[in-house]
Amino acid sequence: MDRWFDARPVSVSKSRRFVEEATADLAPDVREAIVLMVSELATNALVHATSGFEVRIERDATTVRTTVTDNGEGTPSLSFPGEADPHGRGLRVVQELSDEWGTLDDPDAPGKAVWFVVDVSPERGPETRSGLLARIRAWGSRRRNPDRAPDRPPVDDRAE
Amino acid sequence: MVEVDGGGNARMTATVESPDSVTVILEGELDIASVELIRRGIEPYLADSPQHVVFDLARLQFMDSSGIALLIEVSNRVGSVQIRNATPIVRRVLEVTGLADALGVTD
Repeated sequence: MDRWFDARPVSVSKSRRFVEEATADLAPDVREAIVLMVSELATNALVHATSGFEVRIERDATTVRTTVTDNGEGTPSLSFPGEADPHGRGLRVVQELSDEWGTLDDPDAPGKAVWFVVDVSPERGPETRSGLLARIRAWGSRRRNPDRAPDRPPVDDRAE
Repeated sequence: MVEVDGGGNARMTATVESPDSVTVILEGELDIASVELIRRGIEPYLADSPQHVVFDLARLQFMDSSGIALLIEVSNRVGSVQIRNATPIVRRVLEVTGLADALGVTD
């Protein structure tokens, strides 16, 4: 399911409501993480691309794939702000809370998409905060191990 | 005590506890739509250069990096900040951005 949101600040909270509805059956911690990541990507679309944006949610039994597409300028890039720097943390939140993420950029058209995937396999069991933090650490090591990297669609990895 | 309705979905209540200390209660959802009015609401309290600002986030249901930016801006202008009573999702955004210690997160 997908929905387009106009280039207005209130669209960010509207996109959160949309995602909450689309993930209402998931464990609260997982759902909150997905909603937070969408809020970050929607904000980036408004601030950096000065664009409206589309939020698309694709689900199967084990994964939730969320894509936020804008039609403005700019290429997402992960930054490493110091503790006193107020800005530059949106994509870090996505990196930390997703299993996979990346960007899709059509060189012949304006705009780009940023996507992330969250594994919602039932065998993971009830989510706890400490469990999620443990998973975040595990994901970090998995990302650094190319032999275990799952298949990905074509991705512009410059953002990583 | 002054209340500011942050447009969007956020509200704040600020209380001067002493000449050196201000407590700011944030409620609702702090994001790009609501942060600017909250920023303006806090500004008068920073003009007196308090040493210490306490944010009570017990009733803040959501915050993303737009809210983080505001907390860091305040932190940069006063002696110290402390964040109390953060809800699980707010605490998580502080932790994954690595700011829980810098922003004085306590239970």
